[in-house]
Amino acid sequence: MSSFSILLKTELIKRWRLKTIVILAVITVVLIAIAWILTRAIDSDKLSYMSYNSLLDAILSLVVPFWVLLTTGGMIRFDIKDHWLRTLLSRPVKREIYISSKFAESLIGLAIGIILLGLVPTFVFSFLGKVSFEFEIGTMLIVILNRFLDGAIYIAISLWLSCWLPSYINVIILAGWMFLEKFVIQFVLTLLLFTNKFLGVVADFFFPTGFDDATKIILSKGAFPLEEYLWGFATLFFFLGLAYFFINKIKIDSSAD
Amino acid sequence: MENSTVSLKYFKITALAFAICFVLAAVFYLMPYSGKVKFIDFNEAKKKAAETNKPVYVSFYARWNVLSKTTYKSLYSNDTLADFLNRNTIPVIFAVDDENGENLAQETFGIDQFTQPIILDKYGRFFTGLYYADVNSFMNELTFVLNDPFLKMNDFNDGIEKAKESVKPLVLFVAESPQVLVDPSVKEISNLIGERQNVYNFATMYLFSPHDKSYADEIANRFTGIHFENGRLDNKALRQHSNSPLKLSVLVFDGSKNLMGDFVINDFGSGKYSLKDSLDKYAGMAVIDNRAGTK
Repeated sequence: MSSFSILLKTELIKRWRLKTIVILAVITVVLIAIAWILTRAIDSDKLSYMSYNSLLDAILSLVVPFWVLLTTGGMIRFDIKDHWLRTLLSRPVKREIYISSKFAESLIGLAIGIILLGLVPTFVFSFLGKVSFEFEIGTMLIVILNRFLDGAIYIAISLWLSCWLPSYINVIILAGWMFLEKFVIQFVLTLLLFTNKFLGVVADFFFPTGFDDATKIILSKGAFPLEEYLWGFATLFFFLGLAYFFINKIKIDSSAD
Repeated sequence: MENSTVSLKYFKITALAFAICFVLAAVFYLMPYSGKVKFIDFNEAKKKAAETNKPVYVSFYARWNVLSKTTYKSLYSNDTLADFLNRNTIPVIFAVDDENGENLAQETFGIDQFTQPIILDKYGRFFTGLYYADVNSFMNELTFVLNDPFLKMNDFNDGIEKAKESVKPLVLFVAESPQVLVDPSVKEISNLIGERQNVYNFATMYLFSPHDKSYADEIANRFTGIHFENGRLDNKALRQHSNSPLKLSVLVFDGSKNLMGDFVINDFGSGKYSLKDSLDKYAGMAVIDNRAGTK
């Protein structure tokens, strides 16, 4: 077994304890119940048709950021604080392998989150309700993949921030950044300063939205969003690169938070 | 211990991958986008519109406009919409990336907001702007606008020509801007136009449009008591309706440019006026007059 596999297994065991599994199961059941109640509450005369992919995208655009914010707080910093990283690096393990295993573990968690909190409730809602849904398997898979990649960017940012910021500050900054993008920057530009060229460019690059934009184009049956995917992957590699760089700069004997 | 764990191998790989993706994305970012819509130059489109009687669809393009970036991309690469635009309109892309482009657009179309596509009639007169939410709603809006009877109407000059040829009176709708006409509450007028298509000729005049300015002046000079100010027809009819906001004026001419009557339409849908009665009264006079003239 390679050191990456051993580390990944260890991270998964650390994360997926009985308590975590029970909490996630409860949340999933609650969401299924809400979905079921909604199927009864919606008047099918007023809302007779919906696109499943649009519904799924709307749900995943909420689930993915929340999942990342809830699961990646202090992900590196706490390993330093409780001396786990020092113990680990006393063995012949590269720091890059360690951070890769953290990243991979978070991606596996994200995939589980997408299935349980996004796919399952929306399936329940669409199959049990009276509203007829349009299903397109290909587009559905692309929506899931794009939201997953979006989540990968958030995880990479959180990972990088956690390399040099104490405690949960990484997710607080990420949440603030997301909030500014969704509710301040776009609002200000859309309604007040939309003709300002400089701010137009700032808004384009304020927060990485490559995969998000790609999803919007795909859902509106547009052309293949190559530019958006390239921006998405550029962002993902940028923050991942920063995380790989900063992990080498960490003083693992420091536990001051 | 610490040095043996340090490695920049993965950092270098990700940095290289980032650089490749970034450069390629930046190239696409700076390239204009037209998708599957066959956009042509505005001057060429004007000629084509006069020949084919098709409306002109103008899309403003500015790389810096945050509103237009992805929305335009999803619009113009949609097969159904692109085909619809290519078949039913003459699509034009108008660059407003810099101040020159903005000034030219302002001068040409008489508008100062370039965040949404606009529709021009066959004379190149601004008809309405289109709001984008998603492809389906955009298609519905576009279909609604393209079926608007006012969009297909002649200008004053062509209207008079037609009136002369067909010996049918000309009903001229005068508004400050066509925005008044695309109001859904003007349905009664649209229905009436449909009903009376074989009896009268219809034309429009938009006082803010550079194309119509000369006709407005001609009408104002020719007929005592008619004066256009800020899109309003100032005559005795206006005085009668002085308490209501005036939206649309209607002039009825015979084929020899004789003014048979005029009236105003305000408070659409309120039931305070009867367009049908007024139209039939004045246009009916023109019909009688024309028949007398031909006899």
